[in-house]
Amino acid sequence: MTEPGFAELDYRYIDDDWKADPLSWSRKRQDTVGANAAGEQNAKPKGGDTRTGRSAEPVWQLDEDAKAAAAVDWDEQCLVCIGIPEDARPS
Amino acid sequence: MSELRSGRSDLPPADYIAETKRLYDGLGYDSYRWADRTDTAPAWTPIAKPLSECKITMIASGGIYKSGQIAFHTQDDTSIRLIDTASDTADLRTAHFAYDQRDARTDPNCVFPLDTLRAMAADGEIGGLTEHAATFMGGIYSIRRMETETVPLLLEHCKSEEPDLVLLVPV
Repeated sequence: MTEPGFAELDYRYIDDDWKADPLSWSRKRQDTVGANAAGEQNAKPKGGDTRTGRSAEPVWQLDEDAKAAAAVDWDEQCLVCIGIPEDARPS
Repeated sequence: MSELRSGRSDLPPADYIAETKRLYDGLGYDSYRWADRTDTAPAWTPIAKPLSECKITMIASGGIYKSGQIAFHTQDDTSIRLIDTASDTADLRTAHFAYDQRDARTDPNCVFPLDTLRAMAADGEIGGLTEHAATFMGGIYSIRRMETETVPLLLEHCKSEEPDLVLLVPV
């Protein structure tokens, strides 16, 4: 492909099947995104808003991540953690 | 790649724009507004060679960081992380406030399809990956700060690693 446009790749993604028959798609079809393993839609958080509060401190997924980052020298760290102001370096 | 090829077929497409508007309206916010840059033309550039010969870099907004790196904060953090594309995805983490991270934390490929791209490279579908991918925490409420702080860092990444294509992975 050398021009702007669409390329058909030999990969299938989870929501591709409707494209074979576009008119088959319906908004009324059950939306399984967010459902739990049993298919229960009430697994979705109430109101559909999954946002959490914002924090000015690094939000570590795991506590040990903070220790792992602290163990890395800043000169090395700033090569891959770019744009962190000096006064915002985590202690 | 077999999992991708035989993916589930019972999921309809996500009408993302309509859903976002509905969500915001339902929460009592003003209607959601996307950045509308009518003053500059899109920077689309024709691809000069086959995809199978293209080196790709990935830029993802899902707040992905690697163990050993500093996690993003979630209050307009405009910094970026460079993730070695040889990384084990088990070492990848997410830090974000604006999406449900449960699936991404189970399988980072949801928001950072590194294994998928490596498989495509192995299959010869793409030419390869740059040494690093770039990530940021896309929940930045200031368009100005995004343009003046984050985007220049991402551009510098692209200039430095010289990809033929950039794959943008929004969350």
